[in-house]
Amino acid sequence: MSDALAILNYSSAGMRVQNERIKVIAQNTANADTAPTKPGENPYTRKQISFKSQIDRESGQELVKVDKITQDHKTDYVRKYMPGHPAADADGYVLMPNVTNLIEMMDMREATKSYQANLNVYTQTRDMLSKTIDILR
Amino acid sequence: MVSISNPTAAANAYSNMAKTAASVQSSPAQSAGGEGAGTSNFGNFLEDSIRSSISTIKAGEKASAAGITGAMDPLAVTQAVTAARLTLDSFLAVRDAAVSAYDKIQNTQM
Repeated sequence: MSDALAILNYSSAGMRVQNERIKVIAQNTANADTAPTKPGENPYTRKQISFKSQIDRESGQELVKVDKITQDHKTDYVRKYMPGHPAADADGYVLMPNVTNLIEMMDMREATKSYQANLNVYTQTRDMLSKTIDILR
Repeated sequence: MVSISNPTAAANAYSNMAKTAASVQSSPAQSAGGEGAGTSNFGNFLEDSIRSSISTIKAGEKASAAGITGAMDPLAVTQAVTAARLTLDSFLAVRDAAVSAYDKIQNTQM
């Protein structure tokens, strides 16, 4: 009984981190056009999420958790020619976020598939347990 | 999982389970006792399982209330409610089996 409930804990942790991943993707996508407010400032910087497996104090199980959410400083900002923009520099260029929607969408697809995989494990385990209990009846 | 194919195996499995329960639940003085002590240990074992079942079910109730008010995320609510449902189901199944066995003994023609 507790073993099967432990499996449910693993899958739930997996779903929870994928939820967090989708949250970060949503922030990136929403801010894909967030330019700086004045020249010399940096625009929105893409966020990245990383996971790690660690012992959960409450259950004593090794569950997947969000390690940290970091900013992506390795991808260059995009320079866009918008002379009328309040943040435009002397040449009329504005630094735009380093978010590529295509990458975000691919990432979201992966997160969704991963969520579904965890959900499948969850559902199968629950059904297995239910069927085992049904034998007693 | 041990498959039980004959009565002797079943009896052995039962005594093994009682031993395991005794070693987990009781103090050394109690586990050294005879049949009486074994019965009370099995009783303790049952009591503890019922207690943990009740706490799981209570957690499920609390989670469903929190889910309705929006204080808890749906995933945590689902997990707590699933655990509570499965615990309650298994508890009811065991209870029904025990009650029907008791009924059968009670209705035995002498």
